[in-house]
Amino acid sequence: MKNLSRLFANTNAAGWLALTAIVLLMGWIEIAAPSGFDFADLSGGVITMDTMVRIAILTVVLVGLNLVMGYAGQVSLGHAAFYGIGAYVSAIFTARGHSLFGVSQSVMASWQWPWFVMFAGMAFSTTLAYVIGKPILRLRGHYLAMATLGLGIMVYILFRENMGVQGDHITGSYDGVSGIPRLRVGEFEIWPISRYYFFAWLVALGVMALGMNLINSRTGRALRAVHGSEVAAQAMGVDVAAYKARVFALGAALASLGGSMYAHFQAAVSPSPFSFGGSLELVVMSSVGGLASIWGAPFGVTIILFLKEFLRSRLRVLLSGASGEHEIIFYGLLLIVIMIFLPEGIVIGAMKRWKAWQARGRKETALSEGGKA
Amino acid sequence: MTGDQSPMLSVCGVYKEFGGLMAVNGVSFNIPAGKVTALIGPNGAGKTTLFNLVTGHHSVTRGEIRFGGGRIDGLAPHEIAAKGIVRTFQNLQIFGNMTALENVMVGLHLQGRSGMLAASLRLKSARMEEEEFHAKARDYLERVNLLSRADEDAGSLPYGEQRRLEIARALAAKPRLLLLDEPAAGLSHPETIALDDLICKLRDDGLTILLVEHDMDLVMGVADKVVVLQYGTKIAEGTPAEVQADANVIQAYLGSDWQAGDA
Ligand SMILES: Nc1ncnc2c1ncn2[C@@H]1O[C@H](COP(=O)(O)OP(=O)(O)O)[C@@H](O)[C@H]1O
Ligand SMILES: [Mg+2]
Repeated sequence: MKNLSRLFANTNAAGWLALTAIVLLMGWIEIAAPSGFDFADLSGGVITMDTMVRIAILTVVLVGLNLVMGYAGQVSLGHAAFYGIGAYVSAIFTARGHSLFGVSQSVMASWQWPWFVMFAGMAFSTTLAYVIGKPILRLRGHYLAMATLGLGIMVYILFRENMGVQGDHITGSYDGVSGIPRLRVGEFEIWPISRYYFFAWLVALGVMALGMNLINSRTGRALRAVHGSEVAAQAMGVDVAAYKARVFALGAALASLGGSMYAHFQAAVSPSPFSFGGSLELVVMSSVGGLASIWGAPFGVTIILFLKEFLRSRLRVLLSGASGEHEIIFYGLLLIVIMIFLPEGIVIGAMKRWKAWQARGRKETALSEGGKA
Repeated sequence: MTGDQSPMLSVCGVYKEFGGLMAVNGVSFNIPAGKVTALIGPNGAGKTTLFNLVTGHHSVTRGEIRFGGGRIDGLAPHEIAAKGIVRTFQNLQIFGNMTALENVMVGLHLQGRSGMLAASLRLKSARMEEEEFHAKARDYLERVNLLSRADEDAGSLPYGEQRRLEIARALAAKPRLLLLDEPAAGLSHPETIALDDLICKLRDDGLTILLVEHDMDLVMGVADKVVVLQYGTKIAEGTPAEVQADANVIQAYLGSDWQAGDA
């Protein structure tokens, strides 16, 4: 009981419970379809289960990116690389594990195999990030941005060019990999989409909770201290290089997890989401939601996904020759506008304004009460 | 006074070159344990550079720095902090993205053990450490009279309060040797008197302090020993009275700045 009241005193915890309630309610509407409404009907087809699953998956990725960029202050322009590694590791080993690596059919068919691959992908991404992070993270500011940009482009080209190997059997070149199996727990298949929705949000809410716990801890403060002043952090005994490498590795692990979830959701992967455009999209989502905020993750993803849908339908009408490339122009413009008017992102910016407004309200009441006394 | 039986810190023949400029030019001195040593000298004399050498933020070009008997030159700043040398900064280095309380909690970093996993899962050990840190950090804020600002954004505090916050953060790190780089710069007169009291109190508690300061009233009031630098070279060393009477010092430095400090 005391625990519960403490939970509600904390705005993060209250918000988290509210989000959980919304997720459960939406899921229930989809499954039960009360009085004949299913989920998509409610929004006139704008919010679908498909969008909701995408939001959950990208939330997992963005919590990691926000820890790296927003809290620890290390700019990463290649985060889609780790997202892609997770997706491709899951795709290749669950769809082509037998033909490529001779994994036995019975292992491939077991329900544990995709989960094992998912964790192996995370372990690989984490190790890779840690190893390359150590030298890269010694660089500061735009050098680091350039280095991560290079990493992202390199990984994308490896996917697109079938890792430079003859034949299209590893990453599948431009076509990618298809035939990725659904996730199962024993006999229980996490599909159709309504089931995957609950799974994806369970992970997303869990990752958000872990992230919130982390930032308000010794480790989280050390990360924020690195952002605030590296020399002062060192002077207080924080091993700056080690913390940077660790948070970069954590960000990579979460991106990889999101990538695996994406692969099993789409049942197919292709290189394009993991290009520079993909990394840029992640950075835009992060900046719009609020870099230094766990809440920025779900909000940023939601806002950008909806804007994208909206643009996709409108741009066709406005510019008859419009293709996907126009999104990049739009992202550029959006980043400029956000950096000028809401540099802390929509969530933190709105929260600060709300707090200032409340404080003013309190001061006014205090004044009027003081007048009466 | 000069017969330090057990110096806490010894700087032995230390040089620091910045692209042709000898910012510190063969300086040697000892810091006696449990005393306040002041490092004075005109702007550009190399005082801050010497701080950066002691704390490992810069590497020495030549020479040795010993702390508690062992060499510390060549160690990384966080390793030197772990040995008990903690500093404040002349150009403030507040964590502007955190509250005042959180700034002090970073000072407690070395006393904690909980890692990423324990923190993410909010294990009992991490929760208990967090509660303990909160209580301790509030104590340190109280010592510099900033408790009422605990939950405010550190970056938005007025200048004088940020200076005190830096001291609270440094104290939280439980220093054996505290380095203060111009702690009174920009403080009002009453704030300077409060700082004077605080430094005396810390010394009475047995803390060893190295103080860089331009305010000569403050220096002469609290220092047990004074080291004078000019153009990277030590020109005098002794008790405040000895240094004040030193012909070199009067000629090189006191003539102008002394009066400025007194005014
Ligand atoms: N990082 C640096 N790079 C180059 N020159 C420096 C650096 N730091 C200090 N200096 C130079 O070293 C000299 C001593 O500076 P400093 O130690 O800051 O003096 P003080 O603290 O006594 O005023 C100055 O001439 C300054 O310009
Ligand atoms: Mg200086």
